[in-house]
Amino acid sequence: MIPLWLWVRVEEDGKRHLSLPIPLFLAWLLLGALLLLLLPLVLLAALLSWPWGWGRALLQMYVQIFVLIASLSGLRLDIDSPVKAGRDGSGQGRTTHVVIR
Amino acid sequence: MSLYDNKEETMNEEKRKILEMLADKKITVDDAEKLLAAVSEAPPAAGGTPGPKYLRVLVEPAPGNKEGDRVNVRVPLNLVRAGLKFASFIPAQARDKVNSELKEKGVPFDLNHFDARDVEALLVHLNDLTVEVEGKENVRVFCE
Repeated sequence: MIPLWLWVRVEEDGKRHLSLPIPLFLAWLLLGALLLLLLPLVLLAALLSWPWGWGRALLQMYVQIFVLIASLSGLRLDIDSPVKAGRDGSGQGRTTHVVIR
Repeated sequence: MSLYDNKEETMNEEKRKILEMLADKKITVDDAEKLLAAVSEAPPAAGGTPGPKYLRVLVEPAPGNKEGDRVNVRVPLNLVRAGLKFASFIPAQARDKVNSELKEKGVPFDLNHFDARDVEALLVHLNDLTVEVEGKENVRVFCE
């Protein structure tokens, strides 16, 4: 399943929580259009380089880009920073979550 | 008997059937080879224990360290596999250069003989690895 959203959530002690959903599907639409435009060139390059054994690798690499994008789903990064006192003695703990769904 | 034993027994039974078919000349050697490869790579049967899906990396401060950050990274294993597959697209000349550089750094890793089985072996060996970094933080790598 291709990931559709990138969620960024920042929680800071004593402050408003920030939750930011980034629509990845818009980026995929653009990337899809770009890859579709490049397809004839890739096919031509693969055809021309086939005798040297590069054509197959080129086509596989093209397909692998889609596999890589589809595999991004489920990627998660959590960073939990403890309270760090500043110069004035104040400081906030911050938790950052980044999830690709 | 565990689920793993059951799966092994079923796999051996299938392999035996393939070899019998080969002995009876019902299939060719090439067909048998393909079938044996398919049986070995078959996913676990429904109801069986599913394989790990994610590679987890946990970074935690050492017991005495109160200022360290806690980091939790969950990487889908499919992403690791897809990324590592890109290694096979590196041109032969570049591969030799990478190999020599890796060897120089003390990593005996040969990209020329790198395939899907190596990826699986690498992931299995990564499972449940704990590294302590200078007493400041503990890094734990495991699959789940």
